Amino acid sequence: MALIGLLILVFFLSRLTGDPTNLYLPIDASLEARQQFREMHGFDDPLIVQFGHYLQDLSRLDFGMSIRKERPAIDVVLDAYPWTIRLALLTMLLVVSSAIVIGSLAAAKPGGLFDRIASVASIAGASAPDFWIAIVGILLFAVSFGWLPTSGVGSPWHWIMPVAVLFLRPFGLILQVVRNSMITALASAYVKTARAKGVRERTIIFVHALRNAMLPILTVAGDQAVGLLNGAVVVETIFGFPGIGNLMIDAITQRDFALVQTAIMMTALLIFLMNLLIDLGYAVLDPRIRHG
Amino acid sequence: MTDSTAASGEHLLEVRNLSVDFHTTHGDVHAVRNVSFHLDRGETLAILGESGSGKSVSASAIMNLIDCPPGNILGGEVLYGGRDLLRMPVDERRDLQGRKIAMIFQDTLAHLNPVYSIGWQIGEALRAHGVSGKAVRERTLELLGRVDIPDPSRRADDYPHQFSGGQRQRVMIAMALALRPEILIADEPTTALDVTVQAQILKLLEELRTETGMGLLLITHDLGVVAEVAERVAVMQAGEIVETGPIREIFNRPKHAYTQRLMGTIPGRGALVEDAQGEDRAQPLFEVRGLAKHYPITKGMFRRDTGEVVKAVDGVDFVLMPGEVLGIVGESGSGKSTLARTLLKLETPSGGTAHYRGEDIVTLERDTLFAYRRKVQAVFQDPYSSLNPRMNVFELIAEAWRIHRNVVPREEWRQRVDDLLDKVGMRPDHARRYPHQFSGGQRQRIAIARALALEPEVIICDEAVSALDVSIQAQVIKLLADLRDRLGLSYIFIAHDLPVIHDIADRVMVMKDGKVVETGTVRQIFEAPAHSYTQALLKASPVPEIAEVA
Amino acid sequence: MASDVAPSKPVAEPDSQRASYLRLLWNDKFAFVSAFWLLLMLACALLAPMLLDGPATTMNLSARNAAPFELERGFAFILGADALGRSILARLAVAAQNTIGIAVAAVACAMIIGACFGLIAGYVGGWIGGLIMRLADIIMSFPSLLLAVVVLYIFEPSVFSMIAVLAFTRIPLYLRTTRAEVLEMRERVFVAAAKVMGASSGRILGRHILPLVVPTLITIATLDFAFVMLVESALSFLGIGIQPPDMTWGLMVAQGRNYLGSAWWLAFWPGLMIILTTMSLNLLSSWLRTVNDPEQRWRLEIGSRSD
Repeated sequence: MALIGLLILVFFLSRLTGDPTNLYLPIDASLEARQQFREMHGFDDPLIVQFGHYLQDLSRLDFGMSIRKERPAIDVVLDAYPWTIRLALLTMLLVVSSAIVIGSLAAAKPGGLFDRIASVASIAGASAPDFWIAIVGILLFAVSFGWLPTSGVGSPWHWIMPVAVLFLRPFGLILQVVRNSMITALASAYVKTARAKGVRERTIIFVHALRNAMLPILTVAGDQAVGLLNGAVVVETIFGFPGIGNLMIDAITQRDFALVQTAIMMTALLIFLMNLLIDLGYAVLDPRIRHG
Repeated sequence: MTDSTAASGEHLLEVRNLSVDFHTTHGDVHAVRNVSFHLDRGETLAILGESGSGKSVSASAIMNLIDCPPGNILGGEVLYGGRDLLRMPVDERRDLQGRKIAMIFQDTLAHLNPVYSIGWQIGEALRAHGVSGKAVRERTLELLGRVDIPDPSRRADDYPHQFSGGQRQRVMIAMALALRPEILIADEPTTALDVTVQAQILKLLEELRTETGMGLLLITHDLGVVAEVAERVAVMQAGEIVETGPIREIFNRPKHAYTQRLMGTIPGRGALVEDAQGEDRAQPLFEVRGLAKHYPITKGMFRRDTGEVVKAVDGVDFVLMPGEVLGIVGESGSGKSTLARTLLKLETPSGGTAHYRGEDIVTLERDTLFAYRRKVQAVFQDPYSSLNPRMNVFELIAEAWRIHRNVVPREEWRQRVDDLLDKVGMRPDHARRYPHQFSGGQRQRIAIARALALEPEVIICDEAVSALDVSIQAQVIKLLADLRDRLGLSYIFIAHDLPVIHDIADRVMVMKDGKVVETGTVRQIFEAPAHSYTQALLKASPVPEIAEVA
Repeated sequence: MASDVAPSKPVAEPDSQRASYLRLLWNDKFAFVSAFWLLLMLACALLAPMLLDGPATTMNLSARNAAPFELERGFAFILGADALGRSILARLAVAAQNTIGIAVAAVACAMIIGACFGLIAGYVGGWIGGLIMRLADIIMSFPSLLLAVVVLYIFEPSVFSMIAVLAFTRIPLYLRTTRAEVLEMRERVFVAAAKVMGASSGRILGRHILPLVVPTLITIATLDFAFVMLVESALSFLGIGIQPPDMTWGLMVAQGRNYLGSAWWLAFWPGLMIILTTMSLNLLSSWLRTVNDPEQRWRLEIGSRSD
């Protein structure tokens, strides 16, 4: 249902951005040429008729042609998406594993030195403006030292800066959630029971407390993953990364309607799948949800 | 009986001069001060105390369960096998926990890990101390069988939330006894349970103690529980042990003033109210016929209606006369609280009729409901959540007059709040304070003052004293009885056990599974209960009666 | 009669509560510095456009890309000058108004609208509540940054449309939080007590539920404020947010980007301002959470002793 709402909204909003004819044809193009261009792409029909055509095509899984690239929009989108997914997966993997380990250790001794360092690191991470970190990173590592390439995806070296910049904010946020929910979990009654049983402290932290603390962690990690799937617009543009965020900005500025619609629909679909996965995760982690 | 071992100086467990502080928002609290006691093989020592007396902190110190900070163990020794646990290396101490000294707790739902099966959790006690392989599963099933969990091999894979409170406590006991410890510390093991279940758990603990010869350290606030199982008692008050001795000494010849006062507050020992006379002539306040409240059972993610219902209240009849106190007794799930909520119009009944002074309360309209609200007030169970934490006492009480504008003119509010506070035994200067600045008993007094603000005819007390310490319980019941005499109030007094009702009710109604099983005058119920459930309830309610000669 | 009266703890009068908050703030040096910095930024936002508009917009070609830390042109150029020779210090102070103003307005709108609908969804429930929650789900499932891009591309990017877009995407956060809190509060015994007294729904929501929800919302808003500021900066950086001659810190970073190799300070200072402000907000928010959590509050108080 959300998908349908999104579909309608995106279709009409993108039509509002203006007439693509002016963008694609030279300024001195004749009126006939313009009319022909409009007819070819169906821009001369009333909006509602255009929408009808669009829906009809959709039901045949035809997402329309990208005017700019002169290829089916779905192909263009499916070319870009794997890059974004790879980037998101790699980043989230690093984020979640490091946040869980560091956050759990920080929560084991709240107020200790390690906890303080972790807190400052997480707050700094969550506060960092990614676009700024990215250009300062380019300035330092690419321009001044010449260690890393500035853009593209040619080699593993190309991935270091985008991943590092994307890493910061989710890491900061998830680290805080891990720490807080681990502190709550470690203060709960079943931890006392485990201590009374003589269970090792490491087992208590990583077996008893962590699994209970995972629910809020999963929620926030899911939100952040969704954010990355949205296309890391800023990072992708700065580092010239061929992902969906970069594609979408181009598509909008060039009024490539079919491409914008397809990209957003695909994103929404992925987000929907992602949320389904998170719900499944809840059920796996907590038997009370499974039986509820 | 314990003198021979005591003389040899070799106790199973000995606590000497233990002192523990806690840092709180209100400064350091001396939770435990210079506490000394000992426990011998095969005996049951009860540490008796009200909330905040430091009894649980003492137990936590033995088990290394105090978080430092905010806790701080200032000094003392806990001797086991000639060694001081407090100064033992962490790993050695961990090795003793669960193997030699084990513990069970009060709130079993919170104390069992919700995301692991109970079989796994019992097995962990074994694995933590080197048992592995098939032996773990076998011993787990054996333990579950021993604590009378039916069908152990299937139930072992279930999760804590799939068990009842009594069963969960059995699981806890199985877990604690996995490695046949020498000492079992039981921290309020039966407090949250129904009286009939409580009796079963106490019996099980008693059996297991004789069977294994372990020493049982029982922490409780309940004099009845102490009378039931303990051999010796240490009475704690404000962090100190004020008196220790064999149970008969403590119950029959208490020496310390606090112990004496405590013994005097045991509910169910006062004189019974005589059967009221001439009530038939008056018009009843409440007249309830066949009242029912059913909840539909829903299933799955989409709350699909299954067509089945839970009959929380299932055809209840009663009348309440002016000036009368009707006690309603029932265990959890008996429907007594749903009945109260229905009478208070917080729930809509599914069937039956309820009349107040001849007016049908089921069909009250906006205006008539408003008038009804003025006449019938309530005092709820939990004094910590029944007062809005953001309002001070004056606002809490005066809110009634903001809603019902014609009761008290605004310029008299201050005076009336002072009067009400005085009536419930509090001072006028309490009016400016906030709920968190009061103890549980004081909060319940505030709640009573709030109920009185509208000058009601009936107050429905839903477990109004259940959450309070016994000595406070006695005070609040006395206050309610005084108010009834002075203001001519009627009460519907709801409780989960009989002794509390004993001293205040005129008539008693016993409920089970949504139905009334027996109604009678308080004398009939206590002296000649007709229904077998009432008899069981009476028998299970631990009214401490310690015979002079055992 | 009164033996249970007199808890042994010293009783704090409500009047002294504000003083005790200030003392706790002083105890946590990080939080104190953060609060100070935010106050400074607030002062900039309110006063700088009136006082410093001249130096911030006057071009001075001789001072083009003047390096920082040189006092020969006066204190106004301590942080250097931009590509048109305008004082960066003055521009930073003036840009604080748009940057902070947009974030404050967006968060305030989102919070108020979200809280209202959340109250309704939580308290009334039924099909209205269900409908509200579905709408929130739809907004949540939008790729929000992209949607902002589309919307801003259609409508003239202006301070107003910025606020509208940012507020719209943040509504679900407050809506869901409020609803969850209300659902929990509604079952509290003191709400039942108020009902029994005859209190109307309006009174129960206004007097009993809302005052307990607000602290949670404020804590979230502090954190969210930092987030919204980052989004605004990113949009302005991408060139689809605030347009010159208006200024925000994000836009200043974008303008400085072209001179990265030759005059790093153009992009560096505004970025630093963003970091410092968002960090202050985060620190203050985590302090607020600790203070409002009775189980954690002692940590701050213990700090006061060792000092």
